[in-house]
Amino acid sequence: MKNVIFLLFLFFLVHNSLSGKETPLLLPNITPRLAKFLESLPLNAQNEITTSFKETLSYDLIGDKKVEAEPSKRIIEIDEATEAGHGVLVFEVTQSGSRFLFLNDLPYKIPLPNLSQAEQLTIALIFAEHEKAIFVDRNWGRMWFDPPSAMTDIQKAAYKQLGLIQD
Amino acid sequence: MGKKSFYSILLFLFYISMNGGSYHNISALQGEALPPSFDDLSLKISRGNKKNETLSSRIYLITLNSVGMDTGSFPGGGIYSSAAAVSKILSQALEIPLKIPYLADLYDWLKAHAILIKKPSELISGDIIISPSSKDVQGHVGIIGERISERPDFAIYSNSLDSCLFLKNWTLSRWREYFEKDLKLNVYYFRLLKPLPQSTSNGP
Repeated sequence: MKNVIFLLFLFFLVHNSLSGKETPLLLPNITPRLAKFLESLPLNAQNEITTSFKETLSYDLIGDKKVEAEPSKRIIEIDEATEAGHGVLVFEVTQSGSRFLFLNDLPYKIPLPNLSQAEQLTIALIFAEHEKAIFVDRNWGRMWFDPPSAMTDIQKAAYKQLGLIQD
Repeated sequence: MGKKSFYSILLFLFYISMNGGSYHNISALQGEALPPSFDDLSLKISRGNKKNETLSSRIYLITLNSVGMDTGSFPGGGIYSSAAAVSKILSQALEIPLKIPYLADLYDWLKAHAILIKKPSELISGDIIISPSSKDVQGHVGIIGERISERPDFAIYSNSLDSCLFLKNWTLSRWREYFEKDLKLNVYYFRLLKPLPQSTSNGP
């Protein structure tokens, strides 16, 4: 009987390794919305993104969008919540996998100079859409424009594209 | 009463009058842990701007006045607004247009314009506590409030993400336990010593 159990265990072990199946890493601190979104990504992209996650923090999907000039590339923004505040994790996803870009309080200030204008605008647009959805009664014309250094051109461009501010 | 005693009393009365009628060592001996009243702080500020503790007292006074401040209209909508809330208070204390919505930028600004306090035992109300974000963990910033124990421990005022209000919502011991021990972030303390010239006032 012991031998049978051992053989069965060995069979499942070999079967799983040969079939090449891996269980996606989904932590309990991920919202169902984010978990569902991650499952739609290739497995290597899922794993690369979730390696940035910490068990003690919680994560939610802010949004994702294709880069207009490079449709094979997507930008994904994920909200990271600590007990004190929120930050935004920004990732890039391509056919070959995903890449962690940066974490910032607000992703309008892009810390990576090598990102294209289209990539920067995509990053800004995703967060501006998020703001538009959650801050429904905001006076966008008054926001962040004074002093001008706090308001980047890329943020203004995103706000204009969404019709939040005018020229 | 001899001449010597008379002159000693005269000297003592002169000393008291030169110190504005207060005898600071008395409260120090009593180990006073309560926050000073608004009147005391206002008095300290009005007495002179050159003492080191004066600017910290001013920051602390404005912090107390800012409790309950709605951070919902700040950059980040009260949710991503810890740096914006603290920079708003520093802006009022320094009377300069300072608006820094990013934690990393506020940390750089503090490194350039404030002195680093190395030991928590040296903290005073009005100092700034900051845990800058690491590569993938979001940090936080707040203002040191009143001393609440001799360990030492202090109340901390910062943006509250639950209510999008500026509140007394941390203590130094809990901050260190969470940010330093649990999240493995650094904890730095800064003190602003003097008002800044207008030319250095612009945020990043």
